[in-house]
Amino acid sequence: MASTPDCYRIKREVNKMAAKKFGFKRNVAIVGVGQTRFDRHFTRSSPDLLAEALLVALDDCNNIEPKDIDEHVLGYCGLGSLYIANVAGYFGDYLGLMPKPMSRTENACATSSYALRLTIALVASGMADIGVASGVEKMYEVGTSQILYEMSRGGDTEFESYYGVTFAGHYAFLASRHFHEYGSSKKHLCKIAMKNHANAVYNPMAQFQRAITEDQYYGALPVAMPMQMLDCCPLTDGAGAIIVVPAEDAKKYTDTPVYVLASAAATASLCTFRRHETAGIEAATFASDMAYAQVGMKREDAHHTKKVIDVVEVHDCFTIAELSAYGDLGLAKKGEEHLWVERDGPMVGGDIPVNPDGGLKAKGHPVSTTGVSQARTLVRQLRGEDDPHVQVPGAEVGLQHNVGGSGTAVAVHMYGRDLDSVQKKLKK
Amino acid sequence: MVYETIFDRSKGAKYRLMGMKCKKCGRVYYPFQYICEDCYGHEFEEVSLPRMGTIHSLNLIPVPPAMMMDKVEYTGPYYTVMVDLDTNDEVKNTVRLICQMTDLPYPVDLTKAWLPAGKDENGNELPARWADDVKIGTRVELVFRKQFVVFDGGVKYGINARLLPDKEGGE
Repeated sequence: MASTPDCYRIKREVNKMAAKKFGFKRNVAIVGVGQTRFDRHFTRSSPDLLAEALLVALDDCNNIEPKDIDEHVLGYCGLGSLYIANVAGYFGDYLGLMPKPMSRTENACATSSYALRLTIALVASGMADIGVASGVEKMYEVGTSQILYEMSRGGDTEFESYYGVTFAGHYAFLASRHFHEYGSSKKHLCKIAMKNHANAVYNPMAQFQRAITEDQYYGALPVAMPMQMLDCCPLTDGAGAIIVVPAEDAKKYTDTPVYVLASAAATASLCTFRRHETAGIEAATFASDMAYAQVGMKREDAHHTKKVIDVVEVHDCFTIAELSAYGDLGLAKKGEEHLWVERDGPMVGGDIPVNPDGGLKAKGHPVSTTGVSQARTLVRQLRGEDDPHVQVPGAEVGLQHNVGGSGTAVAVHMYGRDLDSVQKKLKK
Repeated sequence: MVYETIFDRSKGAKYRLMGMKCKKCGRVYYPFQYICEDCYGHEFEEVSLPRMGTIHSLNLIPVPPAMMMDKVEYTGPYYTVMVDLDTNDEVKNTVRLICQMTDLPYPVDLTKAWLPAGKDENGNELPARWADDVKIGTRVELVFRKQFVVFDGGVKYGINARLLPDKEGGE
C-alpha cells in the first residue's frame, strides 16, 4: 500500500514550476574547489578551517586573488559552537575580505548547497563576476549529548522531539516504512554502508578512511531501531569552498571548468508526519523534477539504464536516506531501489557510481560543509582527477542531492563538462 | 530554558487532540494550518480528532540523548510511533501524528521487539523485522498522559498511543 495521498496541489505546483524551465540569465562555471580534511579539529577554530578551504580553492584556479572576490556566501548552521548573531561579519573579518559583501545562509544539512545556489544566482544574474560559496562547521566544539540534542532541533520540536523522537528516529520511521512498503531490508543498507566505507579508503579527506565488514555492521550499537551505529554518519569538523564565475570567463581561470547545468530546490513540511510520503523524501522528488526540466531531461532519462548521468553524490546521512534517494531522484524506479543495490548498480564500476568519495557515511558530515564538499567531489570527477580507484572513466554529467533536516529542504544541482553535455548524451 | 507559553499556546492540539478543518474544502490538518494546502482556503475551525488509529511507521530508541533524558517519561528503550488516525463523518481525510507508546511493560526488551534476520519453520528466509505485538498495522488508541517534567517541576502532558485492551489479554 503506497502512503501517497489523495490530494495533491503540491504535485501540480511542481509540474507548473518545472514547466517554467527556470534557467540562468548567463551560464556559470565552477573553476576552483577546496576543502579541509574532515576530522576532529580540536586545536583549530572555525575561521581557521574556512581560511584553509578558501585558500585551497583559490589555489585550484589561476589568476584569482582574494581581492578579486565580489561576493561571498557562507553556509553556517552554528551547531554547538558560536552563539553569535553576526556570523558573516565574524568570518569576513578574520578572512580579511572586507569590504566585500558577505552573507550567511542556513538550511540545516543542506546549508552550503543553498549557499552555492545563492552564489550561482548572484553570478548568473550579473551582480557578481567572481563569487565564493563556502561552508564551515565544528561539531566537536561541545559534548556529544549537547550536539545530538541540537541536531534533534533540526526536526520539529513541539510535536516530534517533544515525544522523544531523535534525529536518527526520523530516518528510522522512513526505514520501517520502506521495509514495509517495498520489501527492502537491512541487508541492502549493509551493502550501502560497506560500499561507502570502501570508497572512502581512496579519499584522503575522509574522516573514516577504512572499510567495514558485515559483522561489524550487524554488531553495531542500536541508535534508533532499525538504524544502528554503522547506518549513521558521524559528527565532523570541516570547511569547504567553491569559486563560481560566468561561463564565458571560465577558461581565463582554469583549463578544466565544470559548468553548472541546473540548480533546483524544494521544501516539504518540517513535521515528518505532515508529509504525504513516509517511505521517501518527497522534496527530493520535486527538486529533481525541476532540475531535470532545467536541462531538458525527462525524469525517465535519469534512470540508470539511460546512461545520461555518469556520477552521483547523494545525501546519505543515514543508509536508508541513500537507498530512498535512488528512487527519489529517479536513478531506479521508486520501490525498486533495493533491487538495484542487489545488482551492484550504485557501486564504483556499476551502472551509476554513487558517492565515490565515501558519502556522508564515511567521509563525514560537517552539517554546513557537506553541500560544497559534494560539489567538490563531482567537479574533481568531471575533471577526471579523482583517485583512479574511484574515478568514473570519462564522466561528463554529475548530479548532486543534498537534504536539509529530515527532508525539509532539498537542493539538487547538476554539473557538466560542457554546457551541452546532457543534450549530447540524450542524442546518443 | 523553556517558557510556559510555548506549551500553553499549543495545548488544544497537544492536550485535547484538536485539529484544524478548512471551511472551504473540509480537509483536516494536525496540529496547525493557516492556508489550506489543497484549496488555498484560509478560514479554519477547530475540530476534535478521532482517538483510534493504526501504526503507520515506528522506531525504537534505546537511549535518548542525555540532554533529552529528563524530557521523556521512559528513558530506557521506548517506542515512538507515527499513527494514521481513523476517519469519521467530520474528519474525512487520514490525519497522521507522531507520539510515544505508553502503558507497555517498560523498559522494552530490544532483542524481543526487533527480531534479527533468520528462518521461519519452513526454512524460508526472514529479514530483520518488528515483532508481532508492536509493528506497522497494529491498532492503537490515543490517550492523555504525562510526558515529562521541566526544570522548575512543571509537568508536561501529551497524547500517547497504547495498544487496545484485547491485545493485552482480553480486558
